[in-house]
Amino acid sequence: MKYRVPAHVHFRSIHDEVVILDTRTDTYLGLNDTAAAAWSVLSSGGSSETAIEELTTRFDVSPDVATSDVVALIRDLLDRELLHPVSK
Amino acid sequence: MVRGSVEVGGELLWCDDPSSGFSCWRQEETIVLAWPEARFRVTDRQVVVDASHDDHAMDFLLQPTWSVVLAAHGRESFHAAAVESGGNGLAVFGWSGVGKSTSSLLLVERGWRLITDDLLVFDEQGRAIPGPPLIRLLPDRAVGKRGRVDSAGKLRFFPTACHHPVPLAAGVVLSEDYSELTRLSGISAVNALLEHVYNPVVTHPAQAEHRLEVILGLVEHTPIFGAPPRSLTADQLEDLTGSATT
Repeated sequence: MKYRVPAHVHFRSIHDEVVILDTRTDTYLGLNDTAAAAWSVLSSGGSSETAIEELTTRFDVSPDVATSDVVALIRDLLDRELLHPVSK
Repeated sequence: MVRGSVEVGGELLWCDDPSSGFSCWRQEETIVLAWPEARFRVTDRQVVVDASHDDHAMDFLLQPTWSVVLAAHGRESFHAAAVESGGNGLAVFGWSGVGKSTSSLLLVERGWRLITDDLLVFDEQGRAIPGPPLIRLLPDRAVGKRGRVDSAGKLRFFPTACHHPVPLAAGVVLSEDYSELTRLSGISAVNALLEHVYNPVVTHPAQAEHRLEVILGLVEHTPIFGAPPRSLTADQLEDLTGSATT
């Protein structure tokens, strides 16, 4: 599954982390370094599978944990409408 | 700034706790700030003051109303005091009662100059802009100081002030969130500063984006620390600015 960042979302990197701004509600969300690594993949059109690979490559984390983390992150971002799924 | 009648109404943006009776409203391009003692109608060109007592009007005008005027001109303001020595600024962020003015006073007594007491604004280069040249001190901190007591019972003390913009060498956030002096990085620093913007509500278009840019610029170029309220000595405060080069 691939995703896109909707127009109402702005984001900026700070060191290895990311701040996301929802301009509809003027609310901010901070992502730590692992979530930011997954966001970097997802926000540039990469798939959830690629995001999982990114985490296992860059961090000392098992594939199971990486999968669980990425799935939870995507669910949270979809719930907040900070990420939209791309239809095939 | 003119005197006039200010009607409350429109879109309610923010309502403070009932004890203060504060509310903030949007009426098309205008922001209305209302306290029981005074009301203000703010546009980017004019502030209309509706108050029966000049001292009350001045207390609300100096900081909360001024911060909305600044927002109308694309400037974000923060709950922070700042002082300067040798061209380096130190900002002390925090809500009322955490020791901002006391921290400033500790350093002023060591020869530092006041940049601002409670409302901190930055210019395009990220430098702290001087605010009103006074520190408002609680009576127990004002012993031996000369000045006039305002309507809130605080002494308006006029120390040696800095009159030009100053780059910050460090910032410290005084908050119960911290159990000891801690260097904040990345998101933790951004979140700490977001919690100390002067007006938590967005009153003007694109203000949220601009607010984030200002904070990111600060965090990228300035060491930001967290510390418990009223916990830092003058030596520790001075050491924070030295840490910028380490």
